Amino acid sequence: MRTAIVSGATVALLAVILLLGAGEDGGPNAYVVIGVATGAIYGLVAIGLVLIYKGSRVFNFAQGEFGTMAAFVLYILVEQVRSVDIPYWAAVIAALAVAVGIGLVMERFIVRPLMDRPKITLLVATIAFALLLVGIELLLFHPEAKALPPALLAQTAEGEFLGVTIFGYNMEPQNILIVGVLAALAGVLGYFFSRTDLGLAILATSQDAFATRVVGIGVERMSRVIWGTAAFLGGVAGILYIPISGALTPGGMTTGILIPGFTAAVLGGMTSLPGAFLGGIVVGCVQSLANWAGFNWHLGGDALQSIIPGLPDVALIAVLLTVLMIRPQGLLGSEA
Amino acid sequence: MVNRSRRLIAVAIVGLLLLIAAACGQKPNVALQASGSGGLPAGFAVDEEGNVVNTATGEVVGSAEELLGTDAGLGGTAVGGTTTTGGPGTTEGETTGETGTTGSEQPTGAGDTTGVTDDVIKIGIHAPLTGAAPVPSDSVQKGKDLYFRWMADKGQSLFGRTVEVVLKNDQYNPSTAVSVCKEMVEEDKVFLLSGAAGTDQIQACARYAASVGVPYLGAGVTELVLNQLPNFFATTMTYNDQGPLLADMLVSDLGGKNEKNGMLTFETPNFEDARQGFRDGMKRQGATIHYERTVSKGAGTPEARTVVQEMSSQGIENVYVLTSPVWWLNVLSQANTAQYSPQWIGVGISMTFDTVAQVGCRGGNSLDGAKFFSPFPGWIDRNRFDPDFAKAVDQFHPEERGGDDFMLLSWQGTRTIWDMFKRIGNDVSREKFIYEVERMRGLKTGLGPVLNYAPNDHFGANEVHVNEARCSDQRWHTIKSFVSDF
Repeated sequence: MRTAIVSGATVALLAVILLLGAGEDGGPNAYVVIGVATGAIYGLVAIGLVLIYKGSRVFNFAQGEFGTMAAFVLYILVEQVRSVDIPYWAAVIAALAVAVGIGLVMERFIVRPLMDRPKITLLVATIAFALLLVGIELLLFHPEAKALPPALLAQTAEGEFLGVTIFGYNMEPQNILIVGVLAALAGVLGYFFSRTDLGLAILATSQDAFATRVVGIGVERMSRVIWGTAAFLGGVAGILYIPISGALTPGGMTTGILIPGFTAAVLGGMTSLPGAFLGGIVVGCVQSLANWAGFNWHLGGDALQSIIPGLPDVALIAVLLTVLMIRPQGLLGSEA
Repeated sequence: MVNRSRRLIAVAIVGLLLLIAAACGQKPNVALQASGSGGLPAGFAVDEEGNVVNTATGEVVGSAEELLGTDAGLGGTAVGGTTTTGGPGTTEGETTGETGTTGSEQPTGAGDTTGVTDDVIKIGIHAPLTGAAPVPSDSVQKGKDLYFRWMADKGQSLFGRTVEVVLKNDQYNPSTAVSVCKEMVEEDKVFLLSGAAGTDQIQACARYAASVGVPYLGAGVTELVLNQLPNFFATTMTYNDQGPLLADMLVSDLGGKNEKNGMLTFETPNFEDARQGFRDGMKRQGATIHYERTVSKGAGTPEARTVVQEMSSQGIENVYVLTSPVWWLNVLSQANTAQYSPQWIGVGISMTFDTVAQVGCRGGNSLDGAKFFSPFPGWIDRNRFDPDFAKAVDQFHPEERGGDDFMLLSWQGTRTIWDMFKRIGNDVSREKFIYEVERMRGLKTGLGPVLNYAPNDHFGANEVHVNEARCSDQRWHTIKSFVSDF
């Protein structure tokens, strides 16, 4: 019920903005669309973060690098391996397998040994692991920017655009795919945690590992499932987002997406998968509308962007703090 | 359990806010505040009320006391020195406000010979091996001393000395730049420092070098603060000076006078003189800037999408872009999606690396035909300017198959350093180096601009190459060379 109310209110607010800007040249319409398109990417990262938090009560700062590593593997297979013509879909499977492998290695050698330590220790360990992955990327793939082709091309060889144009904004097919994947994942994972035995077992493990073990649930197995799935989601985010971001660089997902992804997760409620979806959209729209307002609104003759440097970040922090003061558990969050 | 969860969330939020703060990039005037030097470039002055103002627009940038500090000292104590005995000194009193440095005095005594022995001169270079303008680290490693090895192989030396190069990664971050420069001065004991790319990093490291009396050779980039440093020598034309030249090209070669023009830059105050130079040039040419946008240094995909949306909906036909290459690639990606192909123009160093063309040309042709000023020619045209480069790469690094543009830039920079040392002679000290370089005229490497320094002008270059991006071969081509007017 709460999910429906909050989601409905958010959609209604965006609809009002769209209606107010309808027909206005340079109005905010296109920026809402940009916000949704960008927010879907944040949501994709946020879902992975929420999954781990739901399952093990840990903030995983390495989540972005699961995606960067997967993107590098995809790049190598699609662009560098010339001797064998590897289909894109096969390269995607290999890239996701590598991401899952990294997640399982992290779970076995970082998370599990520190499972009984204070969560803050584990949190710092995830930061260290993220830095390790960035170092490995630098070593193996070098720092210069690379171009990763998308799964769905934006235009034909003749230059004809293949996506959809909404309020003057061209949304490329890859971004439409991201929105679809995000919505599907939010739904599937929401169902998984609320309706399946395995999902409930994972939640039980996160709440009380000892009691869970007493009733015969394998805590280690649950942990492997959580981290493997989260790494898979991180990998999906990386291979979907990086092709439309312009360049593949070491640490790219961490520096470009992790911060708004975290914000989306916290805003939506760290325990709610639909909340991560919604949080991503809200974060994307706040940033985008702040960008629009910074350029189009003036104060004393000066554009807002010149009065408040970094306006999108300021607006985002203001929204985050406001939501957390009113609803500390986030828009859709609740305990477990 | 609830409280514990909330504590964890609180910790994560604090961490997140710190990350955001770090990622936000520099806020306006931070660099001036950090400089504490009293350095103001042409176009900026202190008014009667003690405010720093942009003389062209009348805009108050901030209070002079706040921005420049009252106890700033530029110079003085050399660290790690071995034989510091007098020399030109580098105190604040030697600087003269807007007009720049007045030159050093004739050195007396042995001077500071740190980093120089009978058979080696050690120099330090910082470069963004990672960050928003990453350069191929392998190329940098191989290119950093290629020219010196080539000369040594030909039996040439600097009066019996070879040159040893220490290279460190500044991560495209001013604080890191200062940190690695300090390491190179204090621990590696280098004689001089050099930086080829990254405006904020060059300014930060050059200011540190000034504080310890170490010569610094760097790309021109901004004039803010740098024009007050007695140790700084620009080896390329500054962005401020390139601005009017770019406006001339836009109007005379590209028909920008009757078209809609835009300017897209990062928010760093170190680009303010570059922005002002372009504004002045456009005004002089009677052309208009219809769209002017600054974005945070931490900008990502949302900002890239926003600016492309704004520029395409407003019909902007020519765009002067001065950002990091990685973010510009993001803009190009969004422009390709929006099927928006303005005439991109600009200045800079790392923008015209071939990797930018290779990545930017994927997914569309928005980049095709972009024309950027550059201190070095396109790699593909290397043999027109210095055939020795290709020979040296083939001889020492055949696996590199001709090398790349960063090796070419390194070759150009180190050749300049070699020629400077050659002119100075056998007796080298930091003081003598500064004294002699600021009197050098007609320093020509064949690749970069001719350098003409003067005691009151350490910005010795006034020529650029015009490089054009071609998506047909995904490379930058040099279409005009050593240009100083249009």
